[in-house]
Amino acid sequence: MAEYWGVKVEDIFNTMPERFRLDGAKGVDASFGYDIKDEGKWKLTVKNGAMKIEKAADLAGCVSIMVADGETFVGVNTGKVDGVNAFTSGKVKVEGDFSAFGKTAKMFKKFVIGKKEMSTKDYILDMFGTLVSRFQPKNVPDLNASITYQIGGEGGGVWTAIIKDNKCTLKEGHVEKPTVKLEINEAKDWVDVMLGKSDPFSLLSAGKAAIVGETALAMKLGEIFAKYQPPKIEFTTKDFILDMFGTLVGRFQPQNAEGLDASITYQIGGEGGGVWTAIIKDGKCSLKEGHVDKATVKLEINEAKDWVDVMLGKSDPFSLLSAGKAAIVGETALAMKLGELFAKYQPPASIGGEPEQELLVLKKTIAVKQRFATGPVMGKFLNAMKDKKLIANKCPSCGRIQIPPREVCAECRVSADEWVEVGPKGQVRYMEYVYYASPDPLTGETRETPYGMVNILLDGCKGHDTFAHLIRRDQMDIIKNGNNEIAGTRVRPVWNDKRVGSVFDIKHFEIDE
Amino acid sequence: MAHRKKNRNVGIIGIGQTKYSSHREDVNQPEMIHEAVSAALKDAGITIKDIDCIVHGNMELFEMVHQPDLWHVLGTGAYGKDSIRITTGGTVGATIGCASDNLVASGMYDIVMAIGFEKLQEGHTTGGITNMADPLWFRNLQTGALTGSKAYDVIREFGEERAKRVSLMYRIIMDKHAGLNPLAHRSFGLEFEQIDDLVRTSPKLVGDLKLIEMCSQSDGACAVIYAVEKKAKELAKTPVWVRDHITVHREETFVMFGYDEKYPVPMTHRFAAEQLYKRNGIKKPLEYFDVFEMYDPAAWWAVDWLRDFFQLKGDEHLKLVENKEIMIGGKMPVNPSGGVIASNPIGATALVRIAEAALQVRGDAGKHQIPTPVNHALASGFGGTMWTVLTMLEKELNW
Repeated sequence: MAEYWGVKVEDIFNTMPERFRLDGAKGVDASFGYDIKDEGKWKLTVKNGAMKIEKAADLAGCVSIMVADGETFVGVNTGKVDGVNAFTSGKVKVEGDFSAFGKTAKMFKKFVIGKKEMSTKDYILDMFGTLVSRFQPKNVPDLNASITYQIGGEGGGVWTAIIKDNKCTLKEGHVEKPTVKLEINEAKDWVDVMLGKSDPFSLLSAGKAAIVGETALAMKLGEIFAKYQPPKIEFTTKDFILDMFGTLVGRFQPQNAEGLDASITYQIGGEGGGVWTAIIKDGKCSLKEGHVDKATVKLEINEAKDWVDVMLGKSDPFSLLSAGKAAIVGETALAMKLGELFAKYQPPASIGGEPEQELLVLKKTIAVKQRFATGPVMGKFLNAMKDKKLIANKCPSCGRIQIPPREVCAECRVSADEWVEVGPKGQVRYMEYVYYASPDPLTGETRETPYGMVNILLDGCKGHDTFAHLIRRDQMDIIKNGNNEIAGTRVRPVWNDKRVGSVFDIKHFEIDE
Repeated sequence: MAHRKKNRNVGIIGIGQTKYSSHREDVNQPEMIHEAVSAALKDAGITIKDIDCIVHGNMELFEMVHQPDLWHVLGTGAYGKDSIRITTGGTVGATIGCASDNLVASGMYDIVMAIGFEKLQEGHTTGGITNMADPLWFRNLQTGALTGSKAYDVIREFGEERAKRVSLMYRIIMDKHAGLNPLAHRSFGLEFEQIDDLVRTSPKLVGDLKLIEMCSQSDGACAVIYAVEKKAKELAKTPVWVRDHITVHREETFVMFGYDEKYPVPMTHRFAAEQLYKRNGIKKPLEYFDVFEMYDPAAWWAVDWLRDFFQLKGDEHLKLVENKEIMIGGKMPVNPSGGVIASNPIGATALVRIAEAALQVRGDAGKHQIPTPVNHALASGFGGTMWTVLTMLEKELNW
C-alpha cells in the first residue's frame, strides 16, 4: 500500500473506531461506502450510536459511496488537501445521497499524523509533494522552463518540475532536454540543504552535486519556490503525557526542595493515562511508574487530556478541582507547591526548521433571540391562516396579487388595500429540488435533504403571483412544474391542528387528487 | 429618472488586491485589508496622507462584526480622515465604487479610496444570506444563495442537453481565465473535454445547479483609488475614467421566473443596462464594449445574464458562449480574471469587477490581459434578490 505524507489509506480506516464521536452519530442508521482507487473498498456501518468499519468486496446497501484516489483521500483526512476544492473539482466524488454522506464528517475526530521520525525518503517525498504548492509565479513571471532533480542514494529518485504559463506541474522521471538538471549524489545531502542545515554551494564544491544546463536558473530556485517547511509533528494526549513524565526529573528544581522528603503520585485516567510517582529525597528526584506505599500526596486526574491542557497552560488545575475532574488526596499544601518543584513543561518544538509562531483561531458562537412585529398587513394575513384562509392583497393600479401581501405595490408605489381570498388549492409553477442543506435559521439545524420548496399559483392568482411553501417530501419526485400554457401538479395545503399565525400553520402542501 | 452629467470628471488611479483564498488564517481582518490598501497606494504612487476620504464596505452579517470599520482603522488608514461605511449586499463593492465616484465628482473630496473586503471563512455565508430574507415569511423557506430556478428556465427554453453543456462551457472558460490570474482562488485546470463528465458527475446543489457551477467562498480585499481629473492626470500614467454608473433595485421578490411574454416583469439587469446605454447614446453594447467584468455567482445565471446586459435576443447569448466569444481573444471577453465563480470575497467581489475592468483598460492585467486594445469596459454588481449596479469605464476622456 502506498503512503502519502507517511500515512496509508488503511491507517485512516483503522483509526476510525478510536476517532468515532458519539454525538456526531446521533440518529444515524446507515451504511456508507468508500471506494479508494487501487486500494480497495471499505464499508462503514453506523447504527444505535455504534460503528463498524470493514473492508468489503462490494458496497451494496450503502446510502452513499465516496470515490477518490488514495492520495486525495489521505490528503483530505489529514488536512493536507482542501476538501472543498477536491470535491468541487471532482477528485472526490460521492455517489448516491451526498447530503447523507456529509454526516460522516461530524462522526469522526480529525486524523492526526502520528509522531514519527521522518526518514530521508519521507523528507524527499514531502519536499516534492509540496513543491507545486511552494511555486511562486509572481517572482518569475512568464518563466518557461523544466527543472530536473536527479537524486541518488537511499530515498532518491528523479522528478521534473515543469513551469509554464505561470503554473508549475511536477512529473516523476526525466523529460527531454530539461532547462536545467540538478544531479545530487546523496538524498540525505539534499535534505540537509532543504532544511537549511547545509548549503548547495558546499555540495557543488565538494563534488557531491552538479548542475547541468542553465546554471543561472538553478541559482534562482530560492525565488521560484518558497522555502520548504517540514511538517509539524502533532502530539497525541498519550505523547504529551509520556513526554511530560519523561522530562519531569530534568525539570526538578532542587533549590526549592531543600529538606523535602516526599512522594507525589499522579494517577491519570482516560486515554493516554497511567500512574507515576515522583520521589523526592536528599535534593534529588526520581520517577517510578505505578503507586508507592503511602504517597505524601496523590493527584487523581480523571482524564489525561485535561491534565495535558493544564500543563500546556490552556486550563488551570483549580478549574479541574472545582469541576470534580481532579482530586487531591493527602498533603494539599505540597500539591500547591508543584509549580516551584518542577519547571514549567515545554512541549517539544517541531522537528527540523525553525519553530514558527503559533497562529490562533478564536472560536465564537453568537445566538440572538429575535422578535419581529408583523404590522397590520402581514398581521391580517397571518391571523387569517389561523382560520385556514389564505388572503392576498391586490394592486389597484396594475392588478397584481401579492401573497403574502405587501404593504404597497412597489412597482406602482400605491397602497394595495383591496383584499381577496385565494386558494388554498393551486398548481405548482416551480419546485426547487434542494439537495444541499441550508441551515434552518430558526434552529441552526441543517434541514433534512432532499426537500422541495414549491412556488404555487393559488387559485385566483395569475402570472408570477406565486406563493412559496414546502411540498410533502415523499411526493417530490412526481411534482410537475407548470406555466401559463400547461398546468402544473394540483396541490392543497396540509394545515396544522394548532395554528398560531405563522408560516408553519401549513405543514406543507401535498398533491390534490 | 433624472440624471445629470458629472460636475467633475473622475479617474481611477490606484488598484490593489490581495490573493483570494480560503486559507487566510495567517492574518486578521485589518491585516488582510492593509495588504490591499498598501498595494493600491503603491500602484498610485501616493501615500495614505494623500487620501481625503475612505469608503469602507462589506457584509457585516457574514462575519458578524458590527461596525467593522472601527476595528479596521488599523488596516484602512482611516484614522483622522473622513470615512464612510456602506453595506448593500452582493453589490456592496460596486456601491462603494459609485459612492467614491460621486464623492469626487461632487467636489467634496479630490482623492477617495474605496475598500471592499470579506473573510467568509470567519462566519457563515449561507446562514447570513438566509437572514437577509424577510423574517416574517420567506426567511423560513429560502435556500440561501442557491437556486436551481435559472437552470430550470434555461433548460425549458433551450432544451436540456444544450443548456447543460453551455453552462459547463461557461464554467470551464472561467476556469481557464482563472488559470491565468495568480490572484484567483479556484483554478482547477478544467478542459472542455470534461463537459459531459462534469454534467453527469458534479454533485447537485439545488435542481440542476451543480457544485462545479457555483461560486467559491473566499477571503480577500480590494482597494481602488478615485481621483479628480486634474490630480488623476498628474498622478497616473493611464487614469481610467469613470464615465457613468447606474444602480437599480426592486422590492425583495422570490417569485419571478424567466421570461413570460404574457406577464412581463421588469428584470433589473436588463432595465439597468437599457437606461445606462440610452443616456450614454450606446446603440450596440456588444460592439461598443471591449471587455465585460460580470458579477457571475453561478454559471447558469451568467449565461442568462449575458442576454440582459447586452440586450440580446433569442439564443444569441448562448452562441456567445458556445463559440467561445467570451474567452480572452474572443469578440466579447467576459471575466478575464476568472470572475466571481473563481474568487468571491463578497464585500470586495463587485469592486474587484471594477478593478479588473480598469486593469484591462490600462493594459496592466498581466497574463489575463486581453490581446486587443481596451477602450471601453463594463463592470457589473449583483446582490439582494435582484439588484444591479453597472459601471462604465473609459480609456479616453472624449465622450
